[in-house]
Amino acid sequence: MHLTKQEERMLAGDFGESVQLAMEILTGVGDIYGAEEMTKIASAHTVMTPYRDIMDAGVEICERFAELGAKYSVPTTLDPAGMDLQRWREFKIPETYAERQMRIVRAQEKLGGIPVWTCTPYLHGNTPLLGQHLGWSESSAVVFANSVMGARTNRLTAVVDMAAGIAGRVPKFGLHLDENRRAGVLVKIETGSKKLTDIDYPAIGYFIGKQVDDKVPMLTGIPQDVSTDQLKNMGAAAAASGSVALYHIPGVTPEAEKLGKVLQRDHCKETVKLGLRELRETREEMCTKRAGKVDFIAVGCPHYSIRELGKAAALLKGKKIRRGTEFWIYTTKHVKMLAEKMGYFDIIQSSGAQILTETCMLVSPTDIYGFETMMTNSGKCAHYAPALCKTEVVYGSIEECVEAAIKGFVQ
Amino acid sequence: MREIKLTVKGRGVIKGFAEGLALVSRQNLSLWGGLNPETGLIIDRRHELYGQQVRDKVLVFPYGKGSTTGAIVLLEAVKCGNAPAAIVNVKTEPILASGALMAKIFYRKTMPIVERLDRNPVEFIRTNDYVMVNGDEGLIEVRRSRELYK
Repeated sequence: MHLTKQEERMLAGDFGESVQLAMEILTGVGDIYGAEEMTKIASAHTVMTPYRDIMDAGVEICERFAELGAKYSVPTTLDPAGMDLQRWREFKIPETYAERQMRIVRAQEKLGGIPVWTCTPYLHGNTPLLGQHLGWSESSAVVFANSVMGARTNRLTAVVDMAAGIAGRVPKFGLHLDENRRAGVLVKIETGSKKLTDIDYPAIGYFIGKQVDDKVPMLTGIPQDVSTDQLKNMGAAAAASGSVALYHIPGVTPEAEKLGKVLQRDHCKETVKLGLRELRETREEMCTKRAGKVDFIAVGCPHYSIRELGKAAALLKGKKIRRGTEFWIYTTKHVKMLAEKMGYFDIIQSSGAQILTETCMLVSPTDIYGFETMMTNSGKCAHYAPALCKTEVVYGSIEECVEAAIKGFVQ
Repeated sequence: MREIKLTVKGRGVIKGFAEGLALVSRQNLSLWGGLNPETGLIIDRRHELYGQQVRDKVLVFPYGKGSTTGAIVLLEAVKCGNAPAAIVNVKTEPILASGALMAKIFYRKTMPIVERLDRNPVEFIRTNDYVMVNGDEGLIEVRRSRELYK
């Protein structure tokens, strides 16, 4: 890799050990992938945050960087923590676990991480612009930043994302380059007269992820009035069932327009059809169980927006969650604050449902509660729940989720 | 007992030498939600390797997938002594390669990775074949006893 004089000095240790370590990691990755040079980044986003996932190796590495005096040199946001940082005692998180989690929190604070504790940094103060180079982890955030905002980042990983934030640069390969951002597969969504609704988007994402792996799909058949939340949820599912980091939707995503000539159908080598049958089959595949008792309903993966929270509140108004069933909604502290001001919080609390912040069901020790069957309206959650939460999983709409929470079962 | 020996050339992603019994899957694998580093077992119920032990094995699968948290799962597996000996892919995902690179940096663990072999590894390597991985030159050598080849 060709390094600038500044970068050579950074790697040599002229700016301290933490910068040297960061550069060792970044240049190592760059060399593996044939990067010719590095690129400065506008921001970073790190997943070195939940204790459950990063474990003792993660605590060790966070503290090592903190001890070396590392500081993020570009705005670096933090992914969800491994527990609700305010309410963890209420949720019976073991003290030993909480102690390790707080060590991570303190280390990240020392580095200057922005404590949004969310997988949706693009909606909470880390808003990338078209063409900006970034160093982000969190597969659901990467696919949103690349696709919906036209920014440029690879799918980084734990520790490499911290190195990117510290050094303020990443090796320039993969999705930083135009040639890797062209669509390689066309996905034709054809549902005839059936309009796409909220429940379809995670399923569309799940299908796309399975079909295209890590290729860049161009999607046709998505309506022009598709919402931010719908794209957020679709992308997250695609990034979980496969490794999708970028998609194009003509008329919706910024690069599909700009690179229109390059993304014409004849550049796409493959075509995949997603019709009503495929949609139905995918929804079935997303469930490990389709009917019966449900003891845990979890929504907010990615974190719920205030719009989604409002919709859940409207459905829960005047209703009561069945005894023996839990309904947990995951979001950010900011959205929870808005919900309190808008009256949603009171409605949700009266129903018996809970709002948890700064964490989610996949990175907190959800398995300690002994839930048997989880229901969710999240494609990403449906994918990971059996392994991480150790439950059966039912995928359904928010309406179906609320109904299951009230009845305690799904038909 | 006669042996079948096969040497195949590819590209070394991570340098070093390691060997062991192969554990092969035709399905892509995600480390997060896929591998439990504290036990070395595959925990993804939808995966064909569910319940299998990866410790000291030469793990063979097409591509990585899923969560960006992956590298730290590998690092924790190394810390717990449950990491595979080496990895062979059709194409190695940067998240996996980063994990192995950092295993060297943080834990001095050598875990060679080879990709882009002349032949598709998930088609010619079988679980329990003995595989020697040379990450420096991007070579793998596969040994299988005749008795197994029936």
